[in-house]
Amino acid sequence: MLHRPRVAVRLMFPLFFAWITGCAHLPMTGALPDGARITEVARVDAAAPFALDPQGELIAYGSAGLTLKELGSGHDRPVAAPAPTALAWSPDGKQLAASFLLGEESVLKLCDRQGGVLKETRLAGRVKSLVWRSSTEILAFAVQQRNFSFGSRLTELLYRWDGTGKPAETILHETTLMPATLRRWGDMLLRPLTFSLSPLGDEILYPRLHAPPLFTPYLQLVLRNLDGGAELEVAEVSLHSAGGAFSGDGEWLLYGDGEGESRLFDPWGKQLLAAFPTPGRSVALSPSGRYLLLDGRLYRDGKEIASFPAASAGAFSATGGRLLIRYGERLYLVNGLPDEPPVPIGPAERDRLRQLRKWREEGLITDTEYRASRKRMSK
Amino acid sequence: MRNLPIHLAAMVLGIAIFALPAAADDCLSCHRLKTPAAVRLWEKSAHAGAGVGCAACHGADHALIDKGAARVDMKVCGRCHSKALLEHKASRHGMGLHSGWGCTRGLSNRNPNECSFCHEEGSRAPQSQVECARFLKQSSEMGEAGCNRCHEVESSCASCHTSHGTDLKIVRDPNVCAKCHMGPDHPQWEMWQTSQHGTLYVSAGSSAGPVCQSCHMVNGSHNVSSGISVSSGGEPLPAELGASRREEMVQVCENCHAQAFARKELSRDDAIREQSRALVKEAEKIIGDLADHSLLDPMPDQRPPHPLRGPKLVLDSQMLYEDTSHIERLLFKMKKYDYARTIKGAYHQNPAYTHWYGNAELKMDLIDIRSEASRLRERKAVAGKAAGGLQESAEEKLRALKNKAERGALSPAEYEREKARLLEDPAGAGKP
Repeated sequence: MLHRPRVAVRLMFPLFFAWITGCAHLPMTGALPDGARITEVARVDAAAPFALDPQGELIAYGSAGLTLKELGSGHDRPVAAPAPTALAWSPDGKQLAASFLLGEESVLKLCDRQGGVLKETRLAGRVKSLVWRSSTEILAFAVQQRNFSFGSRLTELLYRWDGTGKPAETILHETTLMPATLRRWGDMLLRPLTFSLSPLGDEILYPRLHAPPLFTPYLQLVLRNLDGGAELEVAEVSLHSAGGAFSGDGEWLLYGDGEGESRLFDPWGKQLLAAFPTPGRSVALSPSGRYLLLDGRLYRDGKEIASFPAASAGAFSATGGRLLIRYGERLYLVNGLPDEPPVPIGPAERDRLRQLRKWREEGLITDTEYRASRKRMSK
Repeated sequence: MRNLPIHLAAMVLGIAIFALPAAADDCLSCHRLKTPAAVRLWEKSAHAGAGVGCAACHGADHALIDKGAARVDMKVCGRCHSKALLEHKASRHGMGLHSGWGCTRGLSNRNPNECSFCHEEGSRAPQSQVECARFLKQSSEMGEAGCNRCHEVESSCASCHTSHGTDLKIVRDPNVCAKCHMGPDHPQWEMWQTSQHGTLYVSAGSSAGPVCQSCHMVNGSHNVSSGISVSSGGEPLPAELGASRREEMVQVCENCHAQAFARKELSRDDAIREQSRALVKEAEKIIGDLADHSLLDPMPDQRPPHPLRGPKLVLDSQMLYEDTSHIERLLFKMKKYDYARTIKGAYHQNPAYTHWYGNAELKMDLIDIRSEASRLRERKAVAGKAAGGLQESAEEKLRALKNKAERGALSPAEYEREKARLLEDPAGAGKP
């Protein structure tokens, strides 16, 4: 009993220190690999999107608007207001896609590296995430909510835009939200609706929102082939799940159930590669698949090496080696992670692989036949 | 307790005061001017004679009536006519023909009022789960005027009996059936009218010639499915049900004919049905084969998705006549018009419909379908030659194999073997 005040003081000290220094340092336990270090790079809006360009020179982020930060000079360049809803750099790093909410619609802008607007278009609904499929095609995932007397109709939309003409729209999923569901869950229903793209650019993993009467709403994670439209249901997860991410070869998925466990999972063989005791309310996977960031926990080769606050969210750079972490209203850069992206495959091999994956998704061949064909390719 | 008589008197007075606005006289003063035909019909009706006033069916809430939310549907009639309601519900007329067509709220430019056709006020649940792809392709206006006017028979007694009148002459006249049972897809009224049954009825009266109701609503039963041993698409019902329905029909025929004669006639009609069905099945197989090899123009994934099944080939009862390929449109005519006319013509004893409007058309349809199939195959071959002898791609071959396996045209072992051959073919069959 006599020791309690002393323990309390010891616990309070770091909190007090963090408070007076304005939380300038990202709280961390464990150790980063040798040579890796963390620096604070920007003040951001809480929950705002952020994106690191492939060259690792520019960060785009939301802070009372869209801002570009040059990492070399530390110079901030405010580009546009209001705050973006999603951001993504093209694979060649020449263009930044940014979406902004405009009433019930979104505006999608393609900007150059200085923030100048090159092209823009309107999309129905609220854009939740953006991913470049190639240096000339951007994918946008949007949700549209229409209100009726019986509740709301929520439509999940996929847009494909090459910067010319009208973006192609695909309805991915529709569901009815009853008034009681909307009252009970509110923005929680829309928060997790984001998607990810496979490294081969042929498949997306997206969540379908289901809100059956009298039951708790949940998400169904669905793999969809972009060429044929065939789909595979991967898992059912809670609304707290951040969805999933593809492994470097596109064969495995990392997702959290939103409640207590995250899984590295083969959706075709239904095989569990690894499970992590964390709900996966934020999920990131490095291009090589060597590093995972799950709810602030940094794993290397399946082992936890460092831990940041659970409320932090991160994204690895496309070329590996860098990790951006947003915690509270600050953005941090972890530099120098020893990681290499997978060796790129040639165009012919890539096309053949995409074709085989499409056939598998459409049920034209089985997973076993796919694996046998893939094995023959590598010989 | 001493005040009980006073309380009772007050209650009676209160009820009388609240009931007064609902009394027929109160409605009539206005409605003689506003809806004179309705009033005239009601005044001559059995309802008026029995003291069943306006509010008994319509309720007393005028605002609700104005909103269109106080419809007099079968549940209102069923409060008194429960036997008829039960018979009706057990029949094809009562089996979810109209409601649950498939929710239209996701379609563009819909009239919000159409929701009330399937949903009761305040209820999210549709009244049944039957869905119709052809309805979902219609505009609000066409759906209402071209579909619902007939299919409302499920929940609207007035669909046959008309509103406000109760004269049985109306519903005993075969013309009442003609509103829906006529036209290219099921011209039962025309068949009956030009058959010997119809001719006898016109020339010698109902004692000599039966009408629709004589055979399909025996003794005033509202179960119009009694005695019918095929589905609405002309498929035989399950054996046990089909046999019991056949016995019901034989009994109907026996009211005028010898049993042996009736059985012989109906057996011959069954044979015509089976011969005609074989022609339809052949046509379906031709189209299935074409789809296996992606030869339909356009293929299902190249046209607006089927409202219920998506981008798939649909040749069953949910088949469409729009946004489809030419050869499927030929099959639609063959199946929905000509096959229906053949078998219904036979069962309604109309030789011209059985043969010329039905079976002859069926056979000519099959010629057209075979010819169109040849044209599509030749076109593919010509296109292949023009492209330097391009063969069917590996994906097309895999898809054709899958389609064949799904249709049962390939055994699982054959399917596996063919796929393996394709994927391992070093000459390029397995290449995209």
